Amino acid sequence: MDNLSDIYISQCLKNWAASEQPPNNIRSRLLLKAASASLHDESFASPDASFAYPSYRQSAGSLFPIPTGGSFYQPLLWVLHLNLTPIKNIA
Amino acid sequence: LQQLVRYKVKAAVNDHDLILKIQKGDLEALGELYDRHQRLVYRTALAITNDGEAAADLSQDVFLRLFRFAENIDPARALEPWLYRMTTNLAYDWVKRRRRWPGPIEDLVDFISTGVRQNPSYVAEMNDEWREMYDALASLPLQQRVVVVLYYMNDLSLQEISEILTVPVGTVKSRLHYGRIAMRRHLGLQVQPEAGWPDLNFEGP
Repeated sequence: MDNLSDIYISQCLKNWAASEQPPNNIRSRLLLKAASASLHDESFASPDASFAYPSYRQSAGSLFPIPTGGSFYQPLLWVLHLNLTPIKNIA
Repeated sequence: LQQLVRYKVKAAVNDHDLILKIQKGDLEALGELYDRHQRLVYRTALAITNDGEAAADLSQDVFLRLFRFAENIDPARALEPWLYRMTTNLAYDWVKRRRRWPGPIEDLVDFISTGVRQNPSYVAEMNDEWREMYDALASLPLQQRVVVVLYYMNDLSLQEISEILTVPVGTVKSRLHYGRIAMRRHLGLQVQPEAGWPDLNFEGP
């Protein structure tokens, strides 16, 4: 801020901002929503959650759960393996 | 000054502890962090959106996201840049979304004349000096308005604004320069030429 008009603009904005108070009810609304969200989403507040975005756990209720790892023993990989393996090799 | 430094150090330490608690789902810590930073978030959102209700909703959203994505926040770093980034991003999205959804014709006229939709009851409550200042701010294009708010109202440096908005410092300088010129003109202040910038008072030979 190098001159008087800059200082004037800055001071006016700060005065205006200082006169503006956030509504009192935001805090209670916030805590209510946060509590509700943490009750309904088990990825919330879990100390071992490795990331905060909606996790694979939310897909648990779906018909076909999405595989979450690369284990060889996962069913989808077995189906793929059987489909691609010629029968004579199995026999 | 020492007292201020001590207060800032204390605040930083406490933020660190509170974020750690929030990462474990502590709602009381969220409330305390909200108490500490609510004004910063609310006023920044209000200055960008020019709508008290929207600023309240955005403030709530910022802290909800803080709670939800606490795992991604590094407690060792200052929280304020994160809050500024989240607030400006959400406010920016809100203004852009409102532009795509025109409402009553009166609002549309306001929008065309000022570039933003103003909340009439909110504007009516402002006194004349602040209304003039706010009209000047509202007349700025959104990107310039955000930079002007962060620079003049929140006292952030060009470098800090550049990091918050993830744009180069040169872009911040440019937006600030043109925002400053427009503000001064709107307020009837003298527009002085700055080194390295074209003289905007020059009206030709």
